[in-house]
Parts: sequence; C-alpha cells; structure tokens
Amino acid sequence: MTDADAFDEFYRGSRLRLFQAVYAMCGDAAEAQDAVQEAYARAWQRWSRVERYRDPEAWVRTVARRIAISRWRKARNRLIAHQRAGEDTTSPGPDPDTVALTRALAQLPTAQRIAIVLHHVVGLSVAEVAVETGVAAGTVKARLSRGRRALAALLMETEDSHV
Amino acid sequence: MSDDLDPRLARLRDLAPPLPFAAPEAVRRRGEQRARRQASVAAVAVVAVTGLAVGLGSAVLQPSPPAPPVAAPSDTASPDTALTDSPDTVPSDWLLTVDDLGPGPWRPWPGPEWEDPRPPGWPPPECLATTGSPARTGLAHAGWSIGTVAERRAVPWVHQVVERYRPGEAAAAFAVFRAGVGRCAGGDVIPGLTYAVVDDGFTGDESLLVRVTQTPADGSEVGVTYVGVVRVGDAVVTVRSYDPELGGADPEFLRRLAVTASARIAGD
Repeated sequence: MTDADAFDEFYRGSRLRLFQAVYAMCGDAAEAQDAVQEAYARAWQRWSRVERYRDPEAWVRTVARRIAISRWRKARNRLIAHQRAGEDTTSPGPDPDTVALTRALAQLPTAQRIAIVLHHVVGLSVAEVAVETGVAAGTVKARLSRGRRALAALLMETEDSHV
Repeated sequence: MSDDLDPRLARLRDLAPPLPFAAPEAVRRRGEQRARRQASVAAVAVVAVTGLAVGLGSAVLQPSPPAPPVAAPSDTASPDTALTDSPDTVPSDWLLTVDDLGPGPWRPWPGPEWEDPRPPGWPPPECLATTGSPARTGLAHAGWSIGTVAERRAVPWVHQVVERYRPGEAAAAFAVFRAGVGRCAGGDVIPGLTYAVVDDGFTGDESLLVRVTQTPADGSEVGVTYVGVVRVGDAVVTVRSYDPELGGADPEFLRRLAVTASARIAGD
C-alpha cells in the first residue's frame, strides 16, 4: 500500500467522526467541515510521521479542534451578523434540537465543551480525554460534571423560552 | 434532564456534513500546496535573516565554566553504560542530526538562551533541589526549526542539550530532574504549572518522558508540552520539540528523538 493509499483509507474512515466532533465543539457545520479538511491536509503534509503515531486520528482531531476553536469567535460573529440579516431559508440546516444543543455547547467554557464532546460525542474514555487534553483524569471528571450541569441548565432555559 | 442529555448528545453522531467531503486527492493536493507555500515563505525568511543565521551552525559546542565543588557521588549510580572519553567534552557525533528529525525543511536554530543552571524544559529552580546537585563538566546543544527562527514559537522546532558529568554524578543530576518533576507535579509550588511522568525507563540507563501542562489563569485552553530526559552513563540528554499544529509537542515524536539521542551517545 502506498502512502497515498494509506492516507486515503485513513481519511475516508475517520472524516465523518471528526466532522461530528468538531461540529459539536464549534456549532457551525461549514466551519467544522472546513477545519476538518484543513487538518487532514496538514496531516498529509507530515504523513510519514503522523501515520506512525499510535493514534493518528487523535492528532488530526487535535489539529482540527485547534483550527476550529481559533476560528470560533469569527464564526460566532458571523452567526450574529447572519441573525441580524434574517434567517436563511435557502438551504436546510440541522434540526432545531441540534441547533439548540450546539448553541448551548458553545456557551460552555472551552475546556468543559472539549471534555463533553470528546467523551460523549467522540466516545473517548475519561482516561483518553485526559491524555488528549493533557490534564488529570480527575480534572476531566470535574469538567464533565460541571459541563453537563451547565448544559442541562442552558437547554432548560432554551426550552422554557419557547413555551 | 440528565437522562435526556445523553441521547441528545448521541444524536450529534448522526449528523452529516453540509457538503460532500472533498475527495482524498483534493485533500492531499491542498496539503502539498500548503507545504510548497510554507517552503517558499521559509526560503524568503532565511534570506532575510541570513546575517543572523550565518555562523550559527547546526550545533553549538561549548565548554562549561569551571565547576564548583560538587556533591558526593549519588548512591543511585549504578554500573551502566561506560563512556570512555573525557567528561569535559561532548563529542559532536553525540548530537542528533537533521536526518533524525524526519521529513521537513529543517534548518539550524541556535535554540533558546537560558540562564538557569539546568537546561530549558527542566522544572524551574523553585522545583529543584539546591543541595546534592552536581555541576556539569561539559555541555553541547543543537537546535533546528522549520520556518523563520525569529518567530520560533510559531514554527516547529527541536532542541537538544547534552551535559557531561564527572563519573557517577550524572545519576545525581538525573535524580534532581526526577525529584523536581515530583515536587512540582501537583501545581502547588507554581500555580498552573504541573508535571506528569508519561514514561519511565524507556531508553538509556535512566529516562523520563514528562508532560508539562500550563493552565492559564484566565481559564483558556491549557498548553501541553513534553520533555524527554535520558541518562546514558555520565551524560544527561534533554530533548524538547514544539509543533504549532498541536500547540505543544507530540509525545511519540519526542520519545523517538530521545531514543535516538540515547543510542547516539551509547554508540549503538
């Protein structure tokens, strides 16, 4: 198998998971897709190194997360501008429940949001989240607990406001 | 609400992207374009900083100042790798070479300047024992970066420091590092700065791969980097690297560098 074949197989096999994780972190599907594809392009730049890692997907996920978070403020500003200009009805978006959830996620502190997405959406164990984010397992547990509480409260507010 | 949260989060796993994913060939092409652009930017930058770069060379070999009185040899020293030449020299072939770094337009970089008696990457003086710490007798370091040396924090870099000690004292120096990591592990000594041993004894006579985490006071994302320290006989080598894509270092890459550095010193 050539390097290109190995990369293509890796890309095809992991891209959807990465998109979903990054979307959950940044709340903007187009930004998430862009960040994920950019991260894969960077992985290809150094594929001879990345492919030898124990978990190349973790590398791409970390890079995509960093790209997405650094663009997050811009995306949020665009969203605000977009809302001022009125709803775009030309293309179907995620369902309202998903929009509410990703908006609530976006209001969490970054560290809590990352922990929740890596654990609940990507499916990493607490120990794996600890390794990927560079903190102790106890810290991850605390972030998950606080993040879930905050998320539940935010979603409750959203639902109440629609009653 | 908590019962409701899990299925709602799980539904995020069913989301499809707004557009079809780019073909793999297009992603690879984008990666190659990015590499070419970075290489040309780096070439321009190198021309701009030629005056700075000239004469730096890929390695800086320097003798240490006269050593102050030293502590008694550590009782942790054990019969191990024998290094036969003088302890006040660091042979140039003990240093990593550009071929050890893997693909990429690596260029010589003189590395950071430092004033602490210990190499960059070691815990700060507040964490290190002030007694029983031997003085090195020889020192060499080497560094490489991809991109402009003037903006080294934004480009990948690798830095290696090799220290020599009098026979038996390198183990004491290594013990200082190990104890410093332990002392500052919990972030009590320096708030926001914690150390965690990722691997122990993976190469050389003694070795530690340590994760260093810096948590900004404003609660923004933590910075994670790694340092590898290996003792081979009477030499102690410290390796660090930085990957801007990760905002820190990749532990696997660093571990491989540490193993290579160890083998180079041991003559394997």
